[in-house]
Amino acid sequence: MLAMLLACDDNNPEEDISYPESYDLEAELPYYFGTNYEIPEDNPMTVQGIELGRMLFYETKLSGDNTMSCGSCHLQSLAFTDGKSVSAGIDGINGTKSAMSISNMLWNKKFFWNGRAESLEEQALIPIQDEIELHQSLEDAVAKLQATEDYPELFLKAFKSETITAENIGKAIAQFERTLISSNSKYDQYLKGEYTPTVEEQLGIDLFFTHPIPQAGLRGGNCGDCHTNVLTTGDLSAFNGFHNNGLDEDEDLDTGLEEVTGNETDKGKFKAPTLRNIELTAPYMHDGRFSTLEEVLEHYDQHIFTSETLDPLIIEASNEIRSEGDPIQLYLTDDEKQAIIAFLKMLTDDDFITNEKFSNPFEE
Amino acid sequence: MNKLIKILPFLIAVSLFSCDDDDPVDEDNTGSIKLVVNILNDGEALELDSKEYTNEAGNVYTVTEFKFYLSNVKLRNTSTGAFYLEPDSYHLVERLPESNVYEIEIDDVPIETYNQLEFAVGVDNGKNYSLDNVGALDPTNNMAWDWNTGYKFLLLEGRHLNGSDTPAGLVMHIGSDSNYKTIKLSTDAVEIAQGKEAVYNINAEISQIFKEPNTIDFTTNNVVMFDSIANKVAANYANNMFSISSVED
Repeated sequence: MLAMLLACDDNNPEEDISYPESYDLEAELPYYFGTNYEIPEDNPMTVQGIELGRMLFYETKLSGDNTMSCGSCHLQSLAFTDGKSVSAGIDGINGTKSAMSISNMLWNKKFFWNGRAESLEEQALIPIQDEIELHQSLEDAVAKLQATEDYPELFLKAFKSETITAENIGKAIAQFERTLISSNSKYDQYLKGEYTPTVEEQLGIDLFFTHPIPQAGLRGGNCGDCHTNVLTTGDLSAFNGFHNNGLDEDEDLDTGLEEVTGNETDKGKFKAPTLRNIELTAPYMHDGRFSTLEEVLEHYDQHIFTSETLDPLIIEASNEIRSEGDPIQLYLTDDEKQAIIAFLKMLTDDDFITNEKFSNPFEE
Repeated sequence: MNKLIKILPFLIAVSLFSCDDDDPVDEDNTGSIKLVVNILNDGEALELDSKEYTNEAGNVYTVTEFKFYLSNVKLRNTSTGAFYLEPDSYHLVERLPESNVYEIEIDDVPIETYNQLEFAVGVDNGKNYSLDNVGALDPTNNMAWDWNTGYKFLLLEGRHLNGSDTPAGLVMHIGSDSNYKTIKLSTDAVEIAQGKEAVYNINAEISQIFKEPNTIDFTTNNVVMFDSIANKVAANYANNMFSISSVED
């Protein structure tokens, strides 16, 4: 009987209805992340889709000369960044933006520093084709995978078709990326009631999420205004999660969100990324200009450049009562800055960077 | 026998209802309403970012972001006392880039004639301090302050163009229980009919937030959170910010 079934299977792989098996990602999510996310109806999470996506994420055949993959600039050990301010693609040419960390992507609706992709599916295909990244046409990528022994069957199992398409490459990578959930940092353990923060860490938590009101004696680091809620991620509504955080004066401002919306009022605005695992994702900012968290804190505390599109919440963040003409400064004490950094280090998740399910399957 | 005949219809009715646990509302006796919230400033669609406005105090300003909680929607017949309260009624009304109009659809409204629409600006005490909420109250909507302070009820951000070289922001983050305000708007008799939708066109006028009864001067109060000025701003939005322009039933 069993032999007969198997024989049938072999003859009619297209009729195998046991694949793909659905995968319950939601069962892994902590309740305090909330439910403000959508998994696209036309790309449900499946065991086989995720497996395929993991292989494609680390597949060097997606690059023009078979030397690089997504994983080349998104290293698990660095929370899927590469430790560089900007990264070189297969032709040795540097890009202009720092590789972004990939975690808790469910709570993102715009992708890239300037927000030019609306979905992970769309995002995944762009670096493959980018001339200074993986530099390969989607046609060539599809043809190379189609010519392999294994991939047609893996696509069959994931998407019920041996005919590989660019769309399904994007879908599989997106499925894998959605599984990259970071939820076991010390801060998560605190939120679950399993860890008591030190005095310094608690001060850091309070400062991080507080907008200072000097008139009321309320001190704050003003971080949570943009890196919102426990996800420490940007506002999800429209482009509200994009801000000009005072890196440059008007004449030096990088374009940022303006490239996508065409609005001058969006010049110099970039995505507020999640700060989960921020200890591991140096250097910081869209161009990787700061090497350490201390430099980042000094920037927000003392070195804000004013410009036309500087965020109102940064303009109005001060722990001292300001008079007209005073510079924009937070006036944090050294101890307060150290406390905020202590909180930021609570966001490091060792399970996330060592989880074998996220690692390179070709190096097992 | 006689008795059984009498209770039989009742038993059938009970059994029908018991099969229908998920949806206890009798749809035969309900209609629906739509609240169309027009977000205006100076009587015209609120424009974000570049448009310069002048408030009652003469301050020039722009708005980059505007949203507020519209909650606990009630319809009432002030003559008979009949009223309907939308269950779990929390809506985050936001000026999105694509439109200044925000629509709220409410189904399963019992058939009745109503002459008053009521809602609140804010989040009631029962939900305000429980941040593990979903939907409009999900903390990822960036309206929750933190796990202790509750929600911002109304958020307006922008710039105060004060004419000096130092830029000034405009930050109104209004919350806390005392600023939860109930708005009651009278209407002509609105008949909610079976299977039909009554449309309430509501104007939400931004300039009123800074106008009456308390003129808010951005020169001294361009950042308002928590304090007594926040109470003044809340008194303003409770006063003249909302009006009904028409009802189509």
